[in-house]
Amino acid sequence: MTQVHSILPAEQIAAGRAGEIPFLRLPEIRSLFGDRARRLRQLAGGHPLGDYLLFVARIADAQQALIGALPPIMPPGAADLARAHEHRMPPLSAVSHRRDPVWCDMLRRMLRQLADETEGGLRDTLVKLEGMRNEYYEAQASKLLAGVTLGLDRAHAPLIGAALQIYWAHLVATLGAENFPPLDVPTICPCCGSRPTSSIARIGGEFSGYRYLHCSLCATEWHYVRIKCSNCESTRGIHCYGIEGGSAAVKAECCDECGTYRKILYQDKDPHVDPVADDMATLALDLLVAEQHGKRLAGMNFMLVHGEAEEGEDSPPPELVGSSPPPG
Amino acid sequence: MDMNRRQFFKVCSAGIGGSSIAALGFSVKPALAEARNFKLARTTETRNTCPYCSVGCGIIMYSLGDKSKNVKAEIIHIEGDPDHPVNRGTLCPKGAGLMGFIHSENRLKHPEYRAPGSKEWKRISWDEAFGKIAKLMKDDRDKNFVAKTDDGLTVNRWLTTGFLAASASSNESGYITHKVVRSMGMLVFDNQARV
Repeated sequence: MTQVHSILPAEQIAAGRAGEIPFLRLPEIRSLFGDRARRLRQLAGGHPLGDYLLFVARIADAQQALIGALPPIMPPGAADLARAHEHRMPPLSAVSHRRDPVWCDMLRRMLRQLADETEGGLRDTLVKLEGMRNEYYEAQASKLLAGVTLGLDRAHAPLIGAALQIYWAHLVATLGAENFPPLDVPTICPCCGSRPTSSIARIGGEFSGYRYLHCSLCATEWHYVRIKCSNCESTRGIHCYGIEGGSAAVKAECCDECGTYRKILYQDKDPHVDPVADDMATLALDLLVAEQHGKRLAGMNFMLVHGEAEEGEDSPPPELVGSSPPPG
Repeated sequence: MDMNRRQFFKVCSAGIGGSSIAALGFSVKPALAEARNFKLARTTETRNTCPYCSVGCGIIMYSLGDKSKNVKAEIIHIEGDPDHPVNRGTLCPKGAGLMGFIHSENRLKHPEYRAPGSKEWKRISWDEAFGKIAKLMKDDRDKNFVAKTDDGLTVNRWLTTGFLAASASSNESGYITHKVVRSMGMLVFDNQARV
């Protein structure tokens, strides 16, 4: 292993800013999804899930095209923001924010664009979903955003999730970092309260060396100290698994206290790692950690929703069945 | 919506057929076959404090090996802890050379004794070492301990022996060191716990 040691730049010390950790990295919406598409294509060559990674790359292309063409969305008002800040709650909560139905139109545009360049059964799935009503989109979105597995369509989840990602990333970028102070709970997104997909130890400029959690919904990244469980905040029993002889840039960070794991990416080992793309491309790591060591997946990745729920899928509380109200 | 209903999605070979990949019509078989050919390597990152000086820089030690399988863990890399408020990921040249210090062939691993006037270092057991230290300390203390000053003031001090403890001490070890040393009346004492 190479010995690389960081040196504080003289200017940073002179400016008195040495030692300040930037808390937030808001999504760079001009390149977020385009970069992801590029990384997915890079990973797809010779990969056992190559076809799927290429399909998700096309979703990311569509996301990048659409986020630049979004009509203005009304962000929450000053009173709503003040209330969220007062109670230290996420201002754009994934479960309580009333979505502007414009996201459903975006979803349809994305599906049309994807269907036009797709053939076979996959095209049928896309066309069928395009023909569904907004009520269905909203009901599926509510399940996905709240992590409710009952009645969630796994084929539709990445597509509906992709449209929600465009909508939320756009809103977060519109509001700006000053509206997102740290929450009391450091393991959920300070903007939307969603679970992170993975974490990434960044390189480059003021972010160098710090570990950030990457939001599964709005792509915001927030600082979270290393060697600490990003699910239960324990600092005991943290260890990592990687594929022997594989990339040192992706590991599964496991916690013995709560029995979960979440991927951690090291940009100093591979500068091109992407929190969503590399999480998907290391499915083998998930399978080995889950099956050999009994760890449960804490990360949430809309582009790869796993098969079974851990518990309770057969007996949901009755109020949850078909209860998602179509907001707006 | 009841937030307690938030669930984890289960990852397993049997369930992968119900994932988004399979549900959208993509094959998961090659991925399952690939996973069977891989082995996991366990690494651990451990926070510690650089042992050299009283600045107390935070370090992260990377070790390889599965403790649960009785494999000897080996430290493979050390770097400054970016989250540590003292050094924010940076290390001085001594700290940056810690790997050489840990794996050094010259590293002292057991007590050694050089008799007065001798040029030879001789390996001794821990019991012998403790016995020697205790004996020398007691002899010196018996000879030089000051219970009262000439004008009758009780001071109970022992000034002819000093004690230097480690730099990377925790609060707790600092407290215990202080109790042990001070209870003997020793005043010349530094354990670099000043950070």
